[in-house]
Amino acid sequence: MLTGRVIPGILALAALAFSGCGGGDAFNSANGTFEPSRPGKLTVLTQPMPTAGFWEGTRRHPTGGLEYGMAVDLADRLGLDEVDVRTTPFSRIARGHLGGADLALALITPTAERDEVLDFGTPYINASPALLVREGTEVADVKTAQGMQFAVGRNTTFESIVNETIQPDSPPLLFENRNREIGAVINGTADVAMFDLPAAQAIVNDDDRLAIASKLSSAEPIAAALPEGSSNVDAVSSALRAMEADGTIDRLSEQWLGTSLTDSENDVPLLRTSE
Amino acid sequence: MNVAAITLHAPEGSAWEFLVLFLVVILGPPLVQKIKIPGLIGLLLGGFLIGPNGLGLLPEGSETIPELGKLGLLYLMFVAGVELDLGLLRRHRNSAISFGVLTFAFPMAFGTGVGLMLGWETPAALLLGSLLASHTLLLYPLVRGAGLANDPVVASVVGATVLTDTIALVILAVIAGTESGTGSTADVALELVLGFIALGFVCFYALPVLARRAFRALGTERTVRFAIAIAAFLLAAVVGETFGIEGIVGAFFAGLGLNRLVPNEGPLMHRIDFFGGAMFIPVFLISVGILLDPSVMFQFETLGLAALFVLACLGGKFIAAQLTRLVMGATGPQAGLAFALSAPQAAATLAATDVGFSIGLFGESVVNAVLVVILVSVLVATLVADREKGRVKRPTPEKKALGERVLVAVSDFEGAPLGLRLARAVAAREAGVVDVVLLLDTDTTGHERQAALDRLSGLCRRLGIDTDPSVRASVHGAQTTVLAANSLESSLVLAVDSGADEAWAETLAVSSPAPVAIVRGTVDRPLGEVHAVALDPRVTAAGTVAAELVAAVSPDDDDEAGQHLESHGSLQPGEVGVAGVSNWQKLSELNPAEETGIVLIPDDLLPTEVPEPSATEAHGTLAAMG
Repeated sequence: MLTGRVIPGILALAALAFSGCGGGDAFNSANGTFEPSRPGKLTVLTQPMPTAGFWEGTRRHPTGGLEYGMAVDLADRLGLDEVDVRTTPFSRIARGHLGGADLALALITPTAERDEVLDFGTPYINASPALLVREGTEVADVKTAQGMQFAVGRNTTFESIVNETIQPDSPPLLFENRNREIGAVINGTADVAMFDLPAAQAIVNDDDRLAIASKLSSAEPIAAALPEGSSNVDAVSSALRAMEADGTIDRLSEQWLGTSLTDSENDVPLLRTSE
Repeated sequence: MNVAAITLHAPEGSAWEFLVLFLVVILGPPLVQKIKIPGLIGLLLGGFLIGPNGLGLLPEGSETIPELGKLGLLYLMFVAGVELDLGLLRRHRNSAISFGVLTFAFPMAFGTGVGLMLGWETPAALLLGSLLASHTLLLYPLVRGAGLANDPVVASVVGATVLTDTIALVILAVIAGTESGTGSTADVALELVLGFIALGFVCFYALPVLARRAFRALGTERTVRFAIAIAAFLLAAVVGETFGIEGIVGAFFAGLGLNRLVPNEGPLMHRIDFFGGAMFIPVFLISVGILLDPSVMFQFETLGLAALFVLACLGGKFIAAQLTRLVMGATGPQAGLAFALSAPQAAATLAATDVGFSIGLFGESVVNAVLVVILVSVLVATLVADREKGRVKRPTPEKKALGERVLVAVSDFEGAPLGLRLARAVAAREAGVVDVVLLLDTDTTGHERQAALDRLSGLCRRLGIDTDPSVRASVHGAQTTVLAANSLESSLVLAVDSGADEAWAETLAVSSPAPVAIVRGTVDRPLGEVHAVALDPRVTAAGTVAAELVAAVSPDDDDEAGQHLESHGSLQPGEVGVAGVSNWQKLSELNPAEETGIVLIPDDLLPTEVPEPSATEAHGTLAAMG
């Protein structure tokens, strides 16, 4: 039968042609091809370390954390030998300054504005904004929250959430450094700070003077940020989906946050919109 | 009043997302159907339009539609399993298996080959091959509408779908399990084997038994029956996932397991189709469309991949279809039709691609390339089907099996339980449908009719029969029954009437499109073993029908059913006789004894010269109630 020989022949020729021509490596992987900025290394950018539960240790000697664990696993899945960690203020990452890193893992939420200067991979966490307070402080409803002094990270999505959703009586204090933001709550400069729930969970695990009072109902995605126009988005997204599917992310969450991402969402009460 | 002080909020939240979703469901399919493209493409394109890569009407990171889409995917695979015609697979077993192997093997080999030649990892290449090897019977309604459902080649393709989809999903389960499972390969393999054993037990043994009991015990309301079906496939999905097998495999197996309990023409299947068509399946298709990204789709890489996939898929399907000319002696147009039916890629392809994407085995380029394959395969198949369906000779209609569509015409409430039990037993064998018509005199009031209908509906529900009885008020019960049988295209009429006289029976038997059996008796207990009774040695045609009827209510392994002859006098309490009769007088003479029932089949086809009955001809039979 002619077709029985012709079609496989055409397929073989076409496949060989495609795999060897213009597309280059692009055809060699069903889940995207990763081209590191430096051979054999995954260069990852994050906020100044440590970030409790997410990046432990120092930039030169990272010791663990959810996002650090993800970076190591990602490098392994992408066939790279080591992870090179770099740090920069969050606001620079949010403005698209990745400084030659392959990607940023910095609890960053994709927004339309950030999408103009960055590319984002598949979200790996969907987290509700949570209210971090001193132990013993209660913030059950919006009315109570409005009378409190908020602290938020500059250029974070929490800035607009606090201003538009909570609408506090006094403007929030803006911090460039998240550790100072946490410190402001501890020393009473601020009454409450807003973080993603998993981040807040890690902060509370680290410091028993703090507690999570409540969370907002709307969840925000957190994703890896890549340079605008990067050809590595597909490969990074595929690897992150695989990490989610095989339970790697949940395992890291339990190891570094002390709870799975789903459990932490379920344990915290919602901030009531009326009394 | 200061209008300027009014603050309008940008639409957001679940209500907005559902509104957008339903606008796509309403507008997407009809718009593309205007240019003769199947509606599912409209839903995929609609998903793209409302998604972040299109008009951005859905917010980035929205979980509502993707989460609902996951349920839609399970529903889609359940429907794919439950609506497959296993009867066709049984009747055309050899040719269906032959075609199933061919139409799976070629695209599987070509697809895997393409993946390997492109340098993909083996699991990704195998998954590509398997997803291109499955097919969805999108164009079957078109072919069935052309009167070709009974064409042997068409029937074989339909039967083969069970095979191709099952193998494709098993391969998907193995690949997804090994890729996302933890532990050694041997551990994962053992887990999968145990999973398939558990899934097989749950779907093909436990679920049918539980569902049958639940339909009788709990299924008194339509919503409950529907909820039982939903719970069944969710249970199977959970069992699968417990063992690391993708939920869609469980949902598909649950569909196959419940296939015989949910007849394609029955009310429950209509409800499953209704909710699936209106909500669950569109949501899944739209959630897939959201992944469609023109900036990825129109890249050289994606279009190159799509071209190779199309060639591998349609090339493989074409070769398999052409081989039907050698294997099954098909004509050219029949082979064309086999190609048109087996080429469309939709349900299993989308499901496997979705899973491949979610476990990180496939990237966006592959997903977008597969969406191109779906579009091209559906368009090419539609064109071929349109051309070939007029060139295939229409087959002579096959004689319907007795149980395909049983009409129970009830004039006598006392005999209704017996008639309904018989109907249920006959229909169950063929996964058929039971229609129930209540015949009342014209002088009954509206209130009386409603009360009688409610009583009959309650009886049907008590017996677990999924049907919506209707009431017909007429002075001509026989003609009304004939009209109902004609309009419903019944395969058997069970007339429950203790007072049927000669004229009544004659009208019914002569004009009915299907064999008629008159049911008398007040027995109300489960049907049991089979005896036989000779009532009238001159009967031939009716005797054959009587034997078929007895065989239909007998256990599968009873080869002698309907062949033994007993005497009428041997009827014991609890037993029911089924017999052909030639003399109309017998209808009024033969009344069942206390606690027995009798089913009489009038013979309107008696030849002038009545042949001597042979030993193997069943002239009268007896069904026992035990």
